[in-house]
Amino acid sequence: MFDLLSPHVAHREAWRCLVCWDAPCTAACPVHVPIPEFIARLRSNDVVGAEELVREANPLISTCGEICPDEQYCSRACVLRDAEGPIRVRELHRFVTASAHAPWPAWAPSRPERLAVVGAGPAGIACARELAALGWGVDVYERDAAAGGVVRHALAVGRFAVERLDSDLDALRGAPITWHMGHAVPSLREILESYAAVFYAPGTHRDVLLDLQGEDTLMVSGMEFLRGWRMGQGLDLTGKEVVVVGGGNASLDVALTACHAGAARVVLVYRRGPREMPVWRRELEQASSKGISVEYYAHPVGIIAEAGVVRGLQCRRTRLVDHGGRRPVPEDMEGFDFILPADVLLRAVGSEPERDEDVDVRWGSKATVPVTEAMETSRRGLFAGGDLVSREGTVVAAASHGLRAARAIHRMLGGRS
Amino acid sequence: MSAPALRPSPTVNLETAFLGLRLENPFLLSAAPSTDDLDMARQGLDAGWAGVVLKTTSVEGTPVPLAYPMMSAMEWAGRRLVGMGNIDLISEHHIDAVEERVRILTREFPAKLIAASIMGSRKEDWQSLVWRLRDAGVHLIECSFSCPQGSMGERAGAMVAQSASATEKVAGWVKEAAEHTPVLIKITPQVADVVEIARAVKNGGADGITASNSVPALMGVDIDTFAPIPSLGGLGTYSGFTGPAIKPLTLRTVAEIARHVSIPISGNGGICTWSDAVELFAVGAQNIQICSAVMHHGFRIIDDLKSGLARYMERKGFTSVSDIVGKALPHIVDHDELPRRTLRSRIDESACLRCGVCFVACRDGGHQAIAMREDRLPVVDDERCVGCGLCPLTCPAGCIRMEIIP
Repeated sequence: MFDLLSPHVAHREAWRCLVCWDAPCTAACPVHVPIPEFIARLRSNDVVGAEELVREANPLISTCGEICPDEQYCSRACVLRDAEGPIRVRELHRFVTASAHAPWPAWAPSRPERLAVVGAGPAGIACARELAALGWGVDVYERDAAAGGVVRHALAVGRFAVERLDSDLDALRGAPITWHMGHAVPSLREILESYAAVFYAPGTHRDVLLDLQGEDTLMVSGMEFLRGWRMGQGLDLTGKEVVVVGGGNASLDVALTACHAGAARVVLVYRRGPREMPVWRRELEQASSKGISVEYYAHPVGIIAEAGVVRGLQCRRTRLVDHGGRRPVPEDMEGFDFILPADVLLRAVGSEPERDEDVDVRWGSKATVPVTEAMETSRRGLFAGGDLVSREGTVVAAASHGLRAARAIHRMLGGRS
Repeated sequence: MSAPALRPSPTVNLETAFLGLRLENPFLLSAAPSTDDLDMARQGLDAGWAGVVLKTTSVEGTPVPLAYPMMSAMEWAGRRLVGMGNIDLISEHHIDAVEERVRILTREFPAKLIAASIMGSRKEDWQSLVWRLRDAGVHLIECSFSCPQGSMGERAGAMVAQSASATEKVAGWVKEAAEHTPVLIKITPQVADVVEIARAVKNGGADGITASNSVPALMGVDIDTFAPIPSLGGLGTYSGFTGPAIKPLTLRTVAEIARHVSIPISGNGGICTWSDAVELFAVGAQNIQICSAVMHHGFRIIDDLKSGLARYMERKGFTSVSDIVGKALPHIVDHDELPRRTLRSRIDESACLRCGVCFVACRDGGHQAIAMREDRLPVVDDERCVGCGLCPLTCPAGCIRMEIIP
């Protein structure tokens, strides 16, 4: 995490922006935050006005101010990127959210009919906010006791201050949203029968398995491990040698939290090479600064255990073979096995949604639900978002799903914007 | 022995003369806070400044009711001191102290120019100040006819240098007392006709002009309390405006005087770098007085002023600062004498950042002659372009130039 910009530095950075006529940064932002416009307000010291613009576009303004991977979005599109370095948009966004708090205008009285949102992660929160702003009453159904989804439960301890998320949720006080939290969610079929439109963003909760013998008892789910720590009752790893199997951002969160949990050594195992690793560079740098090492080109093939106690992970060296696909495929090199000593094995190779077979909706490849531009599924009235439809895996992308769905639902039900 | 320099420093001699006085380089510390303390003056001279004009003094007993804070800034685009404002007055040190400093400095720094600035009201005040300084061995006397605050003009609140008759009269008193000691009159740019004032200076018999003093200005208004800036318990007054923002005003003032009156000019107002100085030489100043840039960045800026000027002169083949003086004057004409040419904007696509800033400027402040292509490159429509020259000024990449069409 970085220190907040001082007002003077923020002001200067705002003045560095060229205010491009068509704002490639805004185009690159999944929720299209009007970046030059908010920066212009920052320049004139109208910080409240700047906050208003950002909040309107992004219901998770405080959360994103802290964790949005701008290198993947706005900063990457900045025309100054190669010339003198991109405008630090996220830092300005963060400065704005930390310095001002525009009151949300009074919520319009909502229509009598209510709409449903399943899942109170970033996608669900954004959808509920937008539907409420468009004048609808919203019922949000969430199994957890607190809203936030992965932001609350699956980010590395120390990487994100939950107060930011809570501040975003506070901004929704007074909205015509009823939060049905901490109970089993009614079946999707039941919900579809009771509401004219449903936004379905339950997230992905089933661990992708490695298919190793003894995995179910000898490996710990990274997701569960993170959740435990975020809920304040995490697994103590003091003095342990820990191997994390993964490669994506989630596995970095697991590895970082393992450090936090007291691990003596943390090794991340990844099948491909450093260039293929689908992580944000900043997070990777943070992980290596904490002493986490990465074992590249390694494919776990067996768990070494004695009397039910983990001793290590047997891996096979891989090499990348280009089959002309989107990216090279790792292939095992027979005879090149090695053992990574370990006391604890954490699995973080991804997660999948739980399928509700009761509802007739078309599924796509890679366990995702295909949706239209308006986030509508193959079933009329059922909209979907979040990790269920894409593994882009950022808060801002999920928020964009919720916003798009809300606007489409509003149009579908004859509302005018 | 020190290591030989990789590249020899410029060998140009920066020495110059002014009113018969030798200056080791053309840069002087002007009458201001930086010259209001003996040790500061020493440090400035040690740092390499060719001379000092000690801060304006007056006769014993003249009240100097300073009010704080006295400084303010014009900020713009995240830059703190684009311009500087002050509501300072003359020195709190009266003639006794200044006379003593003149004696000390002329003794300690025999190769430097030691000047002093004075302000009075009655003839006997002006003349007694001059006699005291002359007897102390001052090299040059500068008379402030133009302090925006507390100036003693023909009517309350007006500066001497806002009246040609007052200017001529007081200049005459001073010169009469100074005899062979050169006298400079420091004028204000805030007059209807600066040429008329310059003629009055000359007619009064003074030897030269310092052009020009700070510009009377209101630095700002606090939009919460509606107090002027700087606010002194909710009240404020006009400031003297200085710093980079006023350089264009100084250039015009000096050029106007130089074009119409034959009188030596010491340039002052908004000069920060050696290239600013060259510009002011080019419009007629024979040397440069600096204050605000020193107040911001310190005496050390003299290093860059000297080395930059020397390198420039070497490159241009000038052997003396006087070679540059007035070089721009033949190029300054009235608007009706300007050539009428056809120009078109030309954009270097390879350097373009594709920000579209030129497009917006031309669309909303020009002639809608720039269009944005699909790939975000700006394209000039020669039919619509009139050659106004706005777009190159707005381009952050500096990739637009104006081409002359034969």
